Amino acid sequence: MAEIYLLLASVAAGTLGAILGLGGGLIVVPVLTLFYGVEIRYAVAASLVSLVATSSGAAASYLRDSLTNVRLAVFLEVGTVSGAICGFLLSTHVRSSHLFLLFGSFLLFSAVMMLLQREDSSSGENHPWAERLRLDGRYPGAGGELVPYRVAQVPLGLAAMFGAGVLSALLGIGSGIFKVLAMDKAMRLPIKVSSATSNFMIGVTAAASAGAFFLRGDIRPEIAAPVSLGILGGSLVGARLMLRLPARLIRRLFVAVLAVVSFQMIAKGLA
Amino acid sequence: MSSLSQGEGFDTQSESDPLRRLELRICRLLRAGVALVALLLAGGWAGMLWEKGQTLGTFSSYRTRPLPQELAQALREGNAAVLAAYAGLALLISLPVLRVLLCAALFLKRRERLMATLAFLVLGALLGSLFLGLEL
Repeated sequence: MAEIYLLLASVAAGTLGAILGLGGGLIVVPVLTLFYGVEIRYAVAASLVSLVATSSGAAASYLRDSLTNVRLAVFLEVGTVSGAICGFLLSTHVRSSHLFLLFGSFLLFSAVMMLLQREDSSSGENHPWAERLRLDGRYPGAGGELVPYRVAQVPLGLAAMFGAGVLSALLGIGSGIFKVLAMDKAMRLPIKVSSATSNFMIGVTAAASAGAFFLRGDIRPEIAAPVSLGILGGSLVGARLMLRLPARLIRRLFVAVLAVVSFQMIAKGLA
Repeated sequence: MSSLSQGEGFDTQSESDPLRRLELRICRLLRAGVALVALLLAGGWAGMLWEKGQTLGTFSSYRTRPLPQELAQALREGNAAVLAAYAGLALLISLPVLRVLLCAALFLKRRERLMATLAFLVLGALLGSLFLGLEL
């Protein structure tokens, strides 16, 4: 019966994740570790696989829209993938208690970031690397017209993506909040473009460490199968519910839950 | 406008464009891949639940065994459920790798060598990361 409850919890995580624009990892890792007592390394590995599932499912839609900047995504994946490989190598040396502390701190950071209002920022000119790689683009504005945008501070963005990759492999999360923050604030991309491009990159980032975890034997089908199926199903439900639910209210409730869970994870790390 | 066309304003929105057709083919491939993964995982997981019952409680401590050993045992025992679940997981992890490969092919087709090199670099890192899992 515990397995069926895990499937249902994963459906809820996927639904909530889709409504709030998060991956399910932030929810499912605490559920597995705090409620099921699963060792955090197995939880992280299962969460990574579920990220690959949801991102691959959504990638088809991302390819159809005009918001995702595929050129920029491919370039930044150099940073996220190399970061994820470093994160995997680090994971063999980091103690479980430290992973709990790191996860709890990241949850707290995510809760604060979700409370802050995001403002659109734009850059007047391209960084030379953006010019050379033609990373700038256009996206559909409110009236449907194509709005051009430039890409600033590319090296800083690439460095931030490396950090996001490390966190993703260590904690089994998509690091979407971190990626979007770097693209918004450092690279000065429009919010819609940074969100869509971040979503597009998550599957590749997760796959970089998931493959290694898989061959090492950390990805157990007994955990990964219900989690992936649940999150995948939940994300489909969440995408349909998104427009009908009061997202602002849900977001505030979720921030409160996130804060409580983050303190529980930190307490477990300190125990 | 496809996002791959940014910078030069190629019109790839039209489905008659060969590159846009390739993008749409990637979409269909990913969707079909995810559906197949879901079938394999659901079938494998149901079979494992039927045979072994509840096993979540056994993962409270970290005692990992490399995948080749797990697969060898499943093959010896003829355990189709475990093999199906692992096949689903392997296919799932290979989907983003396939996506990067197809992106690299798109850039090559456009004769964008620098972007193609970056995509192949990501692809090489993804494939190389697998060997890290084998060695450790």
